[in-house]
Amino acid sequence: MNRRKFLGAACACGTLYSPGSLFAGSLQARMSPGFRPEAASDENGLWDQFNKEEQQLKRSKFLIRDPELNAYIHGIACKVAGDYCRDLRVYLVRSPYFNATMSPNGMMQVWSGCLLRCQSEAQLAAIIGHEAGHYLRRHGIDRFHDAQQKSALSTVLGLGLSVAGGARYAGLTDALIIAASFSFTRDQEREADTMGLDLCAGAGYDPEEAANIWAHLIAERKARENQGFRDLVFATHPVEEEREATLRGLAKGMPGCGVAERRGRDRYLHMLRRERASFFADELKLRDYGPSIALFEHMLGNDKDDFEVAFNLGEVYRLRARDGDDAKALEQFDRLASTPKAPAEVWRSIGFVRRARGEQGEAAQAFGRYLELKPQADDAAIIQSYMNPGRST
Amino acid sequence: MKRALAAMALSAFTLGACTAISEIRSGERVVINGTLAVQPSKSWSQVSTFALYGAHVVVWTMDGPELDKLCFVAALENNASIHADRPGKTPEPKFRSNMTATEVMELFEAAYSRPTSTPVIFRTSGLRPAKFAGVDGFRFEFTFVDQADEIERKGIAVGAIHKGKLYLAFYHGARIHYFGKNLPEVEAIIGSAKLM
Repeated sequence: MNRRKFLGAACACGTLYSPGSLFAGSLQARMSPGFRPEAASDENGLWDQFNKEEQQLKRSKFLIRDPELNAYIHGIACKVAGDYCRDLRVYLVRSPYFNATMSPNGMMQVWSGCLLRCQSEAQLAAIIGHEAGHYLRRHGIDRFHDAQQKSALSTVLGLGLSVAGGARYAGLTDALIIAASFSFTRDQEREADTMGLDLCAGAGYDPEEAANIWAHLIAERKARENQGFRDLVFATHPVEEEREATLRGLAKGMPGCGVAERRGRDRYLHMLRRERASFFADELKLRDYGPSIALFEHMLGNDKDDFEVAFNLGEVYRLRARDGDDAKALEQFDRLASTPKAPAEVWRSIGFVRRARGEQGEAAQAFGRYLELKPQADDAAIIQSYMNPGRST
Repeated sequence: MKRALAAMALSAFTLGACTAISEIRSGERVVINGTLAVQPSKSWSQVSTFALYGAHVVVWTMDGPELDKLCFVAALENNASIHADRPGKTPEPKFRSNMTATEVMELFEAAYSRPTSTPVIFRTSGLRPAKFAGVDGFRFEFTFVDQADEIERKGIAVGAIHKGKLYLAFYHGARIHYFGKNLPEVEAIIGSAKLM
């Protein structure tokens, strides 16, 4: 893990994901628009570190650079953050997990796994609003100051880091390392939740969408086959149900709660259209079958005619290949194949499933259809070889 | 290079003595997992990591594992995974004897793009029939970038399923310089592969 990754992990430590009841009433920002730390302050030093980080992030191959999508999401951030719009910079990062991060200097990262899971503009606005809440309440510098007071822990942690390759972090102060190693506190998360809901409702979004995201994440967690597995989202925050209930309860008293017109679902999916295929591909590569099935079924529940989702649901079953999965995969693929808009890859996948079932004739027919639709396919020669029974591969 | 490897070995030692490096001599006939014989014409270093994660993968390197790796998977059995499962983590994808080459490539891609700590952008291309170790098999190319260092790497993979078991040789190196530098030797080693 290099310095940049380390700082990245620092921000990622549960910015969005701690549980807790929300503060009652509105909170005020602890800074004015255009805020910059005083030149000689430790906060300025902290900003400098993250400014360097941001310069590296701008060059990263993991940045999603689609100009239309970036402009759209910047627009959401501006709606939510209002006068603070120019103080926040949202970066879209290709990483298949559900996460978003906020750095003290205004650098916000939203991961592609988060973009895939959001089902509406209002859901993404809820995440951006929450992260903006961390920034406006200056939680980063609070965390830094708190870390400075933990000098005893610094020694222990420093020892641990040196074993894990801590020499790479020689440029960082102990306090920064500690600050980067801890998630926001529960109180900070509550504040960010409160501000996020206020900001989103004020921007005209359905505030209940924040709770709806949690409801889905809980469903994904329950679908996980290895219940011992705890990812970034759930590692340190075990009571998602409580958080969902709290968010929903608070949203009920806000304007626009539950109003479908305030969600912006169609607009959101339209803006995501060019990138979504790569998000699906990344999701499939995780081979975390249960949550992927839960996600895709949830998405199909919102729109049963979303063929891209249906295809990927079929793909999860095809890749998992347990007893009965062949039929579930074919259920999706056959439904798609009967429509004129079916992509050629549907036929290729039907071929794989049929072949695994020993239905060589049907498999060859499906592969043939794939090659007919896509004669110049990159894999044409190998697919042709599957049509010739007797080969081992 | 030897100095670099010595430094790397020392570094590995200080990180918990988890890696061992042994020499593969030029011209030596090497049998991987008792089932796949290859013969390098140059000297390589075999990197053995005492971790379950890479249990089924034999790793060689010419200039250091950060720069290039030549890997072998030999006689992987039905329902086994390329990487061993890690406690508390999502189970690794499993090989099945009835897989097509496409499905093996998908398995390979999943095995190497599932984040261990940082995300990886992994792309495969050019899957086509090819002989490997004297039997009908397949070949494809791949590229990947790990967010940990953001170095662009290129690779090739050649493999076959024989008597229900998977045999795979794959090589990757930093796109700049190292991939191309060792590729002719790698192709010769792959060409020397024989099933035992």
